[in-house]
Amino acid sequence: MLSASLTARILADAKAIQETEIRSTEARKTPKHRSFRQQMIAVLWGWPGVTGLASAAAAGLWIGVSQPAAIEAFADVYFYGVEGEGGLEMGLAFEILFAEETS
Amino acid sequence: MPVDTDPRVADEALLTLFANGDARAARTLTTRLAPMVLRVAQRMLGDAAEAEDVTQEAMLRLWRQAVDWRHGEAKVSTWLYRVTANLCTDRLRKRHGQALNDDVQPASEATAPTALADLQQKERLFALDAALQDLPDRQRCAVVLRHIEGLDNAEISKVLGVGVRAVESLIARGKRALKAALDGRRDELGYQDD
Repeated sequence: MLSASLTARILADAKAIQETEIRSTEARKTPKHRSFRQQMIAVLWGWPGVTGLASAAAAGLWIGVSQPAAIEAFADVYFYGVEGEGGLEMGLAFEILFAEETS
Repeated sequence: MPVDTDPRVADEALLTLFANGDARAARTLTTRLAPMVLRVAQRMLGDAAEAEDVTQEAMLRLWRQAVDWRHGEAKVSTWLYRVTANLCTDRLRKRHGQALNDDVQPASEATAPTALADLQQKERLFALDAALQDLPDRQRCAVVLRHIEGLDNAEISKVLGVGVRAVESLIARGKRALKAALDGRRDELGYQDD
């Protein structure tokens, strides 16, 4: 069983990494443009171990490099089971993302 | 179903969420993975404070690895077991100044759960812990991963970086050594009644 203090230390490290190393890494990255369909294929077929809800979350996250709003909505539904202001529902999330490709 | 117990949500997916800045993923991964790291470290080191330090360090390495994680190459848990085993081995080397596979000293009495020493089951667990501490590092690691963490031999081979047959040998030798260490205490530990 993790103590509260150890959990706090671990999460403090995580926050520090997210605020420093990950942020700076993302700032340096200039991801080459891929179409939404290419990204979906790479995620869904290039990552067979992830299924179901995890695929949705991971795919959203992956895509979230260029579409942060979409992944934030995904994450809210994923973690809290709640809809965002836009009324996003988990079952419709992919349809909405696919729709963005053609809009 | 809570996220951390939902088998549909892979550790890799959570790691991707973390790498994209989601703090909730860090909490979920911590809830899911840190206890197993702590268990292994405690068994390996026989010292609660050191085990906590190893757990924090192993999780820190996971956070740092998140951005560069190679999806599909290794399970997050396997990677973390490997990091934990290496961190523990490093500490054991420093503690005893001995090479890998050398025997280490038994856990000190100070680490005993003295408050529960009257309870037979606790005594058994303590006896097992003490016997585990007497095993060579890699035997102890293999036995803990197989019989306490429940990993299969193939996964243990990835953690330890050796072949499956070597894992089988480590576990077999470890179990023989444990049996030899505990056989003399059967009556003391109440096994004559089982």
